[in-house]
Amino acid sequence: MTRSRKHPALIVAGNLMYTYRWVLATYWLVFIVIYVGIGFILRMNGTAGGDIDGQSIWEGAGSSPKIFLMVVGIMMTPLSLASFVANGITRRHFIGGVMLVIAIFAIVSSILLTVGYPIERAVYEMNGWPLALKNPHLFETTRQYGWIFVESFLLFFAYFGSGWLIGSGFYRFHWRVAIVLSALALLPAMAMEVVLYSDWMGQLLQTAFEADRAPMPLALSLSVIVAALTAALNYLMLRHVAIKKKLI
Amino acid sequence: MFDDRSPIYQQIADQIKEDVVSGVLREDEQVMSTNQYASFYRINPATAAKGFQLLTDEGILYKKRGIGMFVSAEARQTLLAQRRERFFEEVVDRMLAEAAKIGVPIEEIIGRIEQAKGREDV
Amino acid sequence: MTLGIEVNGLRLDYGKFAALRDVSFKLQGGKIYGLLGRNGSGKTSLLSILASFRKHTGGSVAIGGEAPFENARIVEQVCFIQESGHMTDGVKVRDALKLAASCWPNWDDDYADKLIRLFNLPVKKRVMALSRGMKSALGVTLGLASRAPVTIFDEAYLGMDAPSRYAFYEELLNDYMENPRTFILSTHLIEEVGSLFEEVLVLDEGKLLFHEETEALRSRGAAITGPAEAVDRIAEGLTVLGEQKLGRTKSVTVFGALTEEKRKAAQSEGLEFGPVSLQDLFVHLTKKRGDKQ
Repeated sequence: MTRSRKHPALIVAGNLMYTYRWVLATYWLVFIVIYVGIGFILRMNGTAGGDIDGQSIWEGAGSSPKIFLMVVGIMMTPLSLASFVANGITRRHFIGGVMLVIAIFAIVSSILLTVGYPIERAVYEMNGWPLALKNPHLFETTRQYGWIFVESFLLFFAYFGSGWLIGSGFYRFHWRVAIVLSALALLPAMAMEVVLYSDWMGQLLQTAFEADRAPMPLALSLSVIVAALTAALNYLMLRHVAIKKKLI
Repeated sequence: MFDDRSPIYQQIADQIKEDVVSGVLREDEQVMSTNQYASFYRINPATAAKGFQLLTDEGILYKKRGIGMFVSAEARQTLLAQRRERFFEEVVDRMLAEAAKIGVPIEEIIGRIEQAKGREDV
Repeated sequence: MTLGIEVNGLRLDYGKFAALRDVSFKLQGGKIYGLLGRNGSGKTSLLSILASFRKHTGGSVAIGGEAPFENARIVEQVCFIQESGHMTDGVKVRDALKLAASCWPNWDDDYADKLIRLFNLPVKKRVMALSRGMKSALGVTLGLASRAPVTIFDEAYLGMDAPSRYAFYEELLNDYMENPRTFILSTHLIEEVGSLFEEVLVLDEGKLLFHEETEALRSRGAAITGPAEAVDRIAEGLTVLGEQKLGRTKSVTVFGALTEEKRKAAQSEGLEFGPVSLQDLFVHLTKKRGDKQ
């Protein structure tokens, strides 16, 4: 009577993606509409003036998905761990499943972000506006799709991972302890920013720490370390955690 | 259907015995399976099985493998013999004790019995 | 396919508070077991440990011969239902069923559909929006349809109205007879459910008081009623659980085997013997000093 079934981590991943499918879709829809809307309004009214002129608006877009994915990450453990354990899944497999989901969500979001660039360029060229990037990135022009994808994937992964650590902290510890741990949990995301120097935040951190933008091999090894650390720390926090009825 | 007076399996056994004595269950007739019993009375099947085991041990029921439990041929006689044995102690002696308690003289009891005997003879 | 459960010297501490102390028992498996105990006796703690919701502090647990905590092979065979379970906020009944269906190796979709119809579960509604009775109905549906070799219901049917509860008992029995598994039900409604249990375990203040066949436990209690002096004479040397007096008549609840001679002696003195229901026995055995007599 026992049917052969998928590996438990895959079951977890599948269910989580099914649960969050509308959340993700709605977010991206709203996000695109807002950015496109803002862009057009600014263009049409010419209100912003010289500063916006010639700038890529989509470039600034990267901030929002990072925060959004972090929020989704925060919700992961408190919202879902209990229901999986209650359905006969080990905490270990829950962690494996979430890692998979983080990777997939990061990939999908990166693809969407990357695709935005050529579209923006097409619109700009159509109207004869010049296009330039404001912040330093891994990529110099908006044509380097590979680099755009890699950079955004690494950042999204790190932010999602940081959020997940925060959420697990709140599930495992008393909320006062968890708040303090949250600050530490942000380190992976911030480290990625520094290394990739991708945004105003990265710039801020770079100036604060007087660091130089790191070369690609370092960025990649750091991201592997961040991923492994995220999984390991979550495992340490959750491996013996008691499943209770309350959320926090 | 069951109370706390005695263990449930005992009550099940007693009920089947009563049915055999009164003729509701005839010899070689099949009784409900333990599962049917359990389902009907909402009790654990093991309890029903225990009651059946009691009856099997006493020779009231026998089992046909793969089919079910049946009333044995000697069941009714065995039960009647048992009840006859206990009749004087359980029924008659008790009646006499009650009569003494409430002050009914034995002569009146004998008189009544003879009346009944008279009717029977007629 | 039955899994045995063996617990030895089990301990669970919440900081300084010992919720379970030195609990040991062995369950053969494949039976319907009852877990009785007052609020705070440690029932939920014990069941949480069996289901790997919590880790024990001391002693050992083995299900199917293996330690269950974080053991994928074992936990996928143990289903623990507390009311409606631990659902993610905002999920619909349909989604909760879908999740369970994908997780339990022995899940039976057809049986689940049958139970949904039986309890009239509104599949499109959010779990949070269900009435307490409906949440309980969802819980028992999940537990029964999981066909997990060890299925535990922690007072999961308390919120249901009487007709639904009886429907549940019926379903439980019928499925148990067709597809035997280990069922453990913790309950307060002892009289209602008592006849379903083959064996009962009684917990009190974290300790295991009894583990016996239901009938054996039930028959150990007796109520002796009659003139006070006679009752006292007979009750000499027996474990007295409680007594009640009305005028010159006294009723005493005793626990333990009554010898034939004691029984005959009592009857000759005109004392009445009565049975004690499992519920009353339980109340007496777990009486605390602060309780009303």
